[in-house]
Amino acid sequence: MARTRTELERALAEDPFDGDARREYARLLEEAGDLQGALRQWELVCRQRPESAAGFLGAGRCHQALGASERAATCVAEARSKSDFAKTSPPDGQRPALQVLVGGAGPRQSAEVVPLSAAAVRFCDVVGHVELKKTIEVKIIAPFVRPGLFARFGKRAGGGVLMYGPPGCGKTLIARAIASECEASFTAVGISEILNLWLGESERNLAAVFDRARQRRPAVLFFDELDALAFARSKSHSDHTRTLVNEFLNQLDGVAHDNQGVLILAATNMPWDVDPAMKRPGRFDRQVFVPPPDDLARAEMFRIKLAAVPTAAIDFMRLARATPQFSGADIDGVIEAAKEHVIAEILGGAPERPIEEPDLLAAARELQPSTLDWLRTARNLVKYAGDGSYREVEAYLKQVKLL
Amino acid sequence: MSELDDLHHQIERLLEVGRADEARRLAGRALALDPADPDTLCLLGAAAAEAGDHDEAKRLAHAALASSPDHEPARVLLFDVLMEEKAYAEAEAVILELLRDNPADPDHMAGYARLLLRVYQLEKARALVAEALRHDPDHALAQVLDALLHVIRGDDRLASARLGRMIAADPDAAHVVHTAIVVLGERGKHREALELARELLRARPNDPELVDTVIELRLASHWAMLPLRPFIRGGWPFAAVMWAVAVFGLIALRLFVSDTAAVAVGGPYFALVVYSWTGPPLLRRWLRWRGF
Repeated sequence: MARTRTELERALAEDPFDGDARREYARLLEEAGDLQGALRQWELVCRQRPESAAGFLGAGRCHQALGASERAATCVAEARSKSDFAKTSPPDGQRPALQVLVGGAGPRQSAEVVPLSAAAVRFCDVVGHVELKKTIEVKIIAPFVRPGLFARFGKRAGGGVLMYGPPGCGKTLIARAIASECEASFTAVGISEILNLWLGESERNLAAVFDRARQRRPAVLFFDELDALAFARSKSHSDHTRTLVNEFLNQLDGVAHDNQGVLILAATNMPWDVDPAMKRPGRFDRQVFVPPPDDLARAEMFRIKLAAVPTAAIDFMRLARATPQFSGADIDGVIEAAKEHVIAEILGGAPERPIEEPDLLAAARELQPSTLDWLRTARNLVKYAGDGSYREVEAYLKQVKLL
Repeated sequence: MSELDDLHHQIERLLEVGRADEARRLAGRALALDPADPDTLCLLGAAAAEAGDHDEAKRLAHAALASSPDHEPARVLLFDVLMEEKAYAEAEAVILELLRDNPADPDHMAGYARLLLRVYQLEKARALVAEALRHDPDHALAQVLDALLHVIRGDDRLASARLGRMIAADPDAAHVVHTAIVVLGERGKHREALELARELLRARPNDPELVDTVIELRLASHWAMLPLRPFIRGGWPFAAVMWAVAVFGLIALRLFVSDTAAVAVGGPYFALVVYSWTGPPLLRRWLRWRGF
């Protein structure tokens, strides 16, 4: 089975001299259009396995696509001299040009501006979270799409909203849906777009992201993993973190900058790691807890995710009740485990059959919800730390009898 | 700036914010660029150590040292991992070598003092901390160790003075709050220490040791512990004196008063003894279960 990029990177981290993994990684980068990266990998393959033609052929393909025909010819000539040349395919000059153009995981990409399209995620596409969606519509979207009404009551559109909760529960999806509902341009910002080794450069990158959003009003600026960018200064060891948080606060403050019409959304799994100053009024003063999906939402998820899979009659509500606190990602895991079980049975000689409810229930029993760790940590906050800012979490923990 | 330097910076940053998994993923990318780069190996080792995989961290530190024998971050990583594993003899060999190469480095002095404190070599630890603070009066670890050494010695005044200096310099820093909790707890100010510990727990709710500390401090400051407060304050010497006074006092009392009066005096004392055995564990369980 083909490994993903992350799996290959992990494999190479564990054993940098794993030639097969490196070859697979190089091919993957090449297919993704990251020719520079792929070339480096093929060159390493050449060094690690100089007796094989594969590395030279790969390097040749990359050189050719990058326009270095002479180097490509040298590589191919080198490959021809290897004993296994006949077994590997020659560099096909007919590879589609699109491969060079798409992807391109260069060292740094600018913050991704995702234009809204007909296929954009809407609130109706987000399964479950009924109460949460209502709250967001009233508190976040309505001021944005009907600024006149809210202005008459002295309320402004824009500002900051921090979504927090266990991983895999749809924070990013909700952020995209908010952007669609607000009919605003959506800019997703990750840690790699901001951080830079040089002093002051990260702050400049951050300011540039905000400036771009202000130019594109109405705009939604989305910071995923906010804790990584606005890490609590009391816990950090470097001045770099402190200056970046200071700049972030400066950009959020309405006094220094006009953020009217710019909705700043952020998501984090670890709200306790976010600098407390970020949560003060005028910054991310609205904090929304995104809990794991409820029974109805999980049943709906099972129904949607199993729609294209051969299944017998399944009681989705029973499945949902058997998977308390499971996130969307966990439900994927349950379905995959059930699929594997059925396929293994068929390969073992059993007659072909669809996935049945007991397969899914058995898979659910074997898996632990990934949200539990987060919920236990949050329980410490509510139970022992006396932190009043997690009332929604406290209510949820009581509801699911974890408190 | 090379792509590798940029990746190193991002990995360091991810490690600082406690995202070991992402740091490992990024380190995989860095390793793909240069599989033998000691800085990358060392950062990958630090990520493994952060995730609790000590064997892998040690293996990577050794791999970095095989590639560059004098690589200081790899040696420091190895020292930290050995300290976590409580392999103090091996850790001492590493830190001594580091000190031999950099005799005036306060980081290494404080690191060695930390080791000596763990093995109760208090005088040597004190001398090293003093030397580290002479080189860098604001060294965070050296200041924490200095305060702890004063607490261990029972010198509350000096511990408070050190704590005061730390608070004046950086009142919000987590290490300062940690030190304050220890010093206040030692001075019997459990309620104040509890408030600080709860404040710290709000920032680190996933720290099980901190949860235990908070529960212990709540227990010590609970009203139900009032009858036992003299024992908590006085410690073992007070308990021994009380025991001796009670035993011999009750025997002597029987010679002069009636049995009823002796039971009236001895009964509460007996109840106190039973309560001192059963009360705190029960209350601790209750607080852990119920929260506060």
